[in-house]
Amino acid sequence: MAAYFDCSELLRPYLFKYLETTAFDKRRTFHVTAEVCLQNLKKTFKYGGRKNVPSIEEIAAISAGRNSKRQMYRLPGGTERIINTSSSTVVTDVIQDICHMLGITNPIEMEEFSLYCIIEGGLSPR
Amino acid sequence: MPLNKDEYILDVTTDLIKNGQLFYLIFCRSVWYHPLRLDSHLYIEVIFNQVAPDYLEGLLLVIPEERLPEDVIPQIARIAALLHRAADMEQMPTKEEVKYLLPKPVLVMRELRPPQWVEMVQNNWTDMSALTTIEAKAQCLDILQKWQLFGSCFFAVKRIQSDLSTQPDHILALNREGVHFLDIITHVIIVISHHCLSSLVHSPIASLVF
Repeated sequence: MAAYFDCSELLRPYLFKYLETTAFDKRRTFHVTAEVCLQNLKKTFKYGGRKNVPSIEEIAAISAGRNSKRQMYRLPGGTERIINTSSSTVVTDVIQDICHMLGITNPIEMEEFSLYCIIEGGLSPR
Repeated sequence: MPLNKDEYILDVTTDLIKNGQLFYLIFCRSVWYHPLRLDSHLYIEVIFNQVAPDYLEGLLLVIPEERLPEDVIPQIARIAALLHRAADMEQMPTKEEVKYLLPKPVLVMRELRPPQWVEMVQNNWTDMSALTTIEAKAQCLDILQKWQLFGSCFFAVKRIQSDLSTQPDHILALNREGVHFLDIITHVIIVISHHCLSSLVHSPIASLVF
């Protein structure tokens, strides 16, 4: 949920406080879940909520405890790299991961790289 | 068009999977302001694989008045040998193979006849056995990065409303120097605009107005 929907301004500080308290207290039963929620929520505040309702596969995976999908990304020349992609992964995150593989750590230099989506038999979306 | 940096990956893929569409997520360089770093093998691979097709298509070549500049000829011969080595070849390229190692426009140019090209390329081959494929790719990039059109994104342009040219077709090259309209054959710059490059890359080409 935290990866998908933003909350009201009123609720936000309470929600954050609740999640942070649970996340940082390792004795609490759901501290790991709270940590994930907190990260997802921060992403949602930064980028807005998810545009699309999750697919059945995504829901099934999350329910089974798998937070991320092994998604394939192609590099020029045809080689591929698998990057764990979660509900809250954005394009910038993937570019950052691949740039690190290329030895690039400067965020300004990373801006020179992009991700494209090529559809078989058609143009890229949006 | 590149994906928006703030887009959730799974938002993109969910739509496409739902519609049963086959798709690929492709990573590549779209702005070439920073100098090349030839210290990472994967970096060299990625950049080389992006640049080589444009080079072989002839897009990086500038041939004023359809004549190949003299200083470019030995570079092209050297790059040909490097490309052969980059493809992990261990034998000298044959006459037939040399054809595929040169930029397309070069094959029909009068400056050098095919046997002369073959000889020049084969002469460069002696240096190649000492190189690994990655080193060959890095050396290719090292030569090409000094070329004027290196680091350009190329687009075909069908029509320009301008008094400067009577020819309908041009090539649009976006690079660190700005926006250039090139003659379709010579790649000589006809019109140049020192626009802010990063804002152009992220706006649809259709909205560019000159």
